[in-house]
Amino acid sequence: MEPSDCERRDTASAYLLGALPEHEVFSFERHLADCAQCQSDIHELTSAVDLLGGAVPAMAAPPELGERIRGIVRAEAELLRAAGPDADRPVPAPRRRFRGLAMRIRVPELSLRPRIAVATTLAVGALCGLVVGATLLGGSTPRTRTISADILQPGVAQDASATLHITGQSGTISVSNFPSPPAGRVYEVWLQGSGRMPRPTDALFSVNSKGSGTVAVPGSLHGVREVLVTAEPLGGSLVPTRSPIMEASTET
Amino acid sequence: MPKGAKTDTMTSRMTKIGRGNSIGDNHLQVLADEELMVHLARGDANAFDLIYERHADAAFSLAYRISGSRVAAEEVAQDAFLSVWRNGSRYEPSRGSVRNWILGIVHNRAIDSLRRAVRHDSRRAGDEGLAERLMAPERTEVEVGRREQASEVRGLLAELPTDQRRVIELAYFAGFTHTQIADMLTIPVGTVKGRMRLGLEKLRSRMDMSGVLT
Repeated sequence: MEPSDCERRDTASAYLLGALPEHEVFSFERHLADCAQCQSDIHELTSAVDLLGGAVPAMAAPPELGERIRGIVRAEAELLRAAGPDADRPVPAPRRRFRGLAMRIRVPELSLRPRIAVATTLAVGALCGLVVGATLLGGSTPRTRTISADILQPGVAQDASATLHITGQSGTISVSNFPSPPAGRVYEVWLQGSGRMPRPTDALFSVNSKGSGTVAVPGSLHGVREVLVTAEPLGGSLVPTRSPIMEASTET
Repeated sequence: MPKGAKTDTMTSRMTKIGRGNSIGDNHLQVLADEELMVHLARGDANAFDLIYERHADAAFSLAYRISGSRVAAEEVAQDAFLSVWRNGSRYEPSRGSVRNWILGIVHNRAIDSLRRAVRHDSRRAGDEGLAERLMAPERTEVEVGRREQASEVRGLLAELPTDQRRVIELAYFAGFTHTQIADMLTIPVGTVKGRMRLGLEKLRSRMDMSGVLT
């Protein structure tokens, strides 16, 4: 087909604006692979669409959002360091047919760093699947133990649940149908060893609108008997100020 | 626990979860986004802090503009930035700036979230209706430049013929598909797509002439 004859040129703009239904996206991308005209249009118009995203009136991101995100990132970075240099080896990105084009491809950011992904914020099923996958592929990856935690506070939804996943000496907590922390507070993870007082951690987290959340437990679980979660003032606390909402025994 | 130990622990904790100003690796602060992404891809949380610091406001603004809700915007921005952190190695400088890459992720996430939510109309937030909006402070010259560019792009968008601007806004900022837009405006799908193309071509051309793209 001659470039100027392409009947799907208008579709390229809808594709760039994200206005194609999912079932048409795949069909158009197949067409795009062989159509010089549409490739040229995509190349030409991408820069204009990209600038639309930055053209909205500016707002300040809430400080607590940054604290939450940085808390998760710090916890994952710590887990990576503990796991050693191989943990951060990036998996090469899959080759794309349209590598030369600055085009918009939806769902481009699936996890490429399984160990980080294991560390936080994946659903329990996906998390277990990744760990099992890593075990099968890697051979030396320790098994993951999944422990159901006790929900301790009355008034929490009956279907609220929390799970502690332990891989080697590293742990991850996943919660679902969990209440949001009270206003001005954030959930903090504590480690209870043989001493009387639990140790604070850097792991601070909240839950999304569906009550789901996942957080990596920083450091090693060696010698830890229980992992606790309390609602603490923003920024965390050095001593628990409230009773635990969740408790998981590592000796289960 | 010794008295001093508590203080040290607290200081360490606050440093770890504090804003970007507390970053100890000063040398990172002079790096361009593309160079920071190399560090980020190796698992450097300090590099992530700087990337977040530079682009959080823009990401949150776009997420808010699309989702129309502060809670939803925070979820979208959090998902997007954690994706940036976990998949930093996928960033390719040849495909555009870090900022546009991040905003692309935010846009995809926000539209997906919007389409899942169904409550389309009730969650919309027009430019004039954001009672809870907090204007981001203009912190650096770079940020001032970006604001000016954003303002210019908004101006160019406003200059488009109404029918072309409308389909672009309904698609990009409201997450409607071309068939939904066609139903809404009672015009054929082909007309919607045609207006999208004409509008984008004009926008591209005017951006070029005004120097916004350079």
